[in-house]
Amino acid sequence: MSDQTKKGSVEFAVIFCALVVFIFLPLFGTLAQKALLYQKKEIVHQSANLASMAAYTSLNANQAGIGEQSLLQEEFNNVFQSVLCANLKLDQNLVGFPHSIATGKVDIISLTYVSENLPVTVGNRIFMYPFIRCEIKVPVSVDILAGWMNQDKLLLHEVIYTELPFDK
Amino acid sequence: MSARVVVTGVLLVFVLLIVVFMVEMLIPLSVYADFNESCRIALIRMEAIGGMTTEIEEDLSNRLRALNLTDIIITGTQHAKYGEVVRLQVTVAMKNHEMVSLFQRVLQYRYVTYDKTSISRRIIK
Repeated sequence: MSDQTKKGSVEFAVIFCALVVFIFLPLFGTLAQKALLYQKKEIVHQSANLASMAAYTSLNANQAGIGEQSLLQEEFNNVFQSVLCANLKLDQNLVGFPHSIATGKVDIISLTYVSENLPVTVGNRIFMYPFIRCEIKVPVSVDILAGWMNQDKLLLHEVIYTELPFDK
Repeated sequence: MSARVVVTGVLLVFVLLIVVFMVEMLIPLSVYADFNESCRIALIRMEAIGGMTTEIEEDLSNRLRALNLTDIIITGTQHAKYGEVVRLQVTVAMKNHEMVSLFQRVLQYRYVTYDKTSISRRIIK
């Protein structure tokens, strides 16, 4: 085997390994991180959605009797917060327990019950019936490439719309 | 020339190994998403009916078995009046033949849990 062929093979191997280490692995790492973040986003979304549906139990029964839909504001907030805390494993101050996906304080930016000026259009969705709009920020940990991204926390910003559940 | 063929062959095997390893890492994520969705459906049904029934439990169990999950433990609130807490806890094991080296796979069980709470909307007439 000539020296030139050997040299060519080594160069080829080095370039190939460099491609794997510097392009292929980071690319996969980013994809895996995105997949994990998507899962966390789904957990947050599901928890907030369950909390919103539970909050519908604070509908004012007297008002509902005359066809008006209004929520008892204090009870609405309490139910939402208690169910969100149970599902995201948060303490009373909305700070995540060690086994929670939230790595810090969860911020409920807004929680509103929309029952007027219907139908309401939000993006591609049209709401014909009253709904709850909830906006929360949940800090989550970065599992892969935390060093490369130079951060170990990410803030998931979720806006969830939940319509009044109808039971068939 | 033959040296380059050998090197390319070795590197291709190496890359293939990494690809298989990485793809296998993502499979549990996909199963977990399906597991979560099945449990969510069961919890919403519990919320509307006011607790866990045999029908819901069996349906959930079948859905989880269809996902190839084992060691299924389902615990849920049996009866809840309007405004009371409904809780569903499900623990399952994901059976996975993980690749530990080039020609060796080891059967591993990964346990995952679903634990969510809601409020019953069942009105007792």
